[in-house]
Amino acid sequence: MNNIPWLLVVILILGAVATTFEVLIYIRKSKKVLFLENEFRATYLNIETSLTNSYLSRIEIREVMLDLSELLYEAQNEKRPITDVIGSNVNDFTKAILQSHGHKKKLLYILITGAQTTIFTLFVVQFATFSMRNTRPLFETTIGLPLIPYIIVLSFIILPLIKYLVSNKKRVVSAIASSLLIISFVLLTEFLISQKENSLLIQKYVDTEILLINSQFTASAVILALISLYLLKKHLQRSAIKNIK
Amino acid sequence: MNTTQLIRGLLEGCIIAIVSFEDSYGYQVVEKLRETDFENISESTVYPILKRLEKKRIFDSYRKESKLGPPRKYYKITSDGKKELKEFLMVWNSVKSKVDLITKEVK
Repeated sequence: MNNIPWLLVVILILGAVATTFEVLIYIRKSKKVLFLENEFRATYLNIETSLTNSYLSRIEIREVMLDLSELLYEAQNEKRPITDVIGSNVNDFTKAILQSHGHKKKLLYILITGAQTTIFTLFVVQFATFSMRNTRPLFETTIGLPLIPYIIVLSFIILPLIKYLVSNKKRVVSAIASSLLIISFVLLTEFLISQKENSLLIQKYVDTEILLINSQFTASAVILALISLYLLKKHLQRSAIKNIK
Repeated sequence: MNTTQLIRGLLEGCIIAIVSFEDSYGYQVVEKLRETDFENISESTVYPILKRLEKKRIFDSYRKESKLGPPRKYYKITSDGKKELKEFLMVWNSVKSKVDLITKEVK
């Protein structure tokens, strides 16, 4: 049971940091395009979020968004409807942009990003546990096994959902929805753990701790995995550009 | 044949031709196409084509400050672009003369 507050604190902090980070990014992005009026700005930010979850590199996204801000601004000045610029469907427009860059495998990209976030977060958690407990050496510091599935859920479901919600037009509603998502995730976790007496699976999880990084060798392997995922992502971006017809 | 399909096939060549006359920005290209009776053409069609041509090094691009709003991106034809335009014109003229020949007889 000693794990419970620690687990909740970690999840709560991760969730709060992620939400704050996303909201700050959204506000910063919004400020960049203050010259665009409501509907134009919302569409701009919506497309930017879609592209962020694609294969495009940051430089490519910045380039596309700069182009788009120019096109939207011209249309706004001419008092033309936004559908004149992006067509009747934003998703089709985003798809056309991605195809012009040769990018297609969105799901693979999301999986790679999720794996990167999971590995990196677990890595950080072990270092954080080591710093906070300060009872065992770094390579003997164990972390609670339940953290692993929760961090996976956080990386693959909660964070992408928060990204999606924050990109929504109604910012206040999105912020509340993101917070509710995190709170319900934490409450569900607490409920599952409180029910552990009745659940063999949870019992097993709560009572078990694992040694994630037990030597310089595994630490190197984790770093290598992160680098490999990063290089794979870059390779996919480059090969996508080569495939342009 | 569907008119839209036919026009889209020709659009790429027309855009290269427009940029070959003078360096142009996206909205300018759309306007020129509209002036020449491509009425239903919008940025959503033209922008991905411009992007693709830029990636294929048919166009280079540079940004120029605009008096109002964000800087404009100008597209400029490259030597590869000039070759591409020549090929397009050759193919187009050859197709056009064949079509003219047949349709003339039809008339």
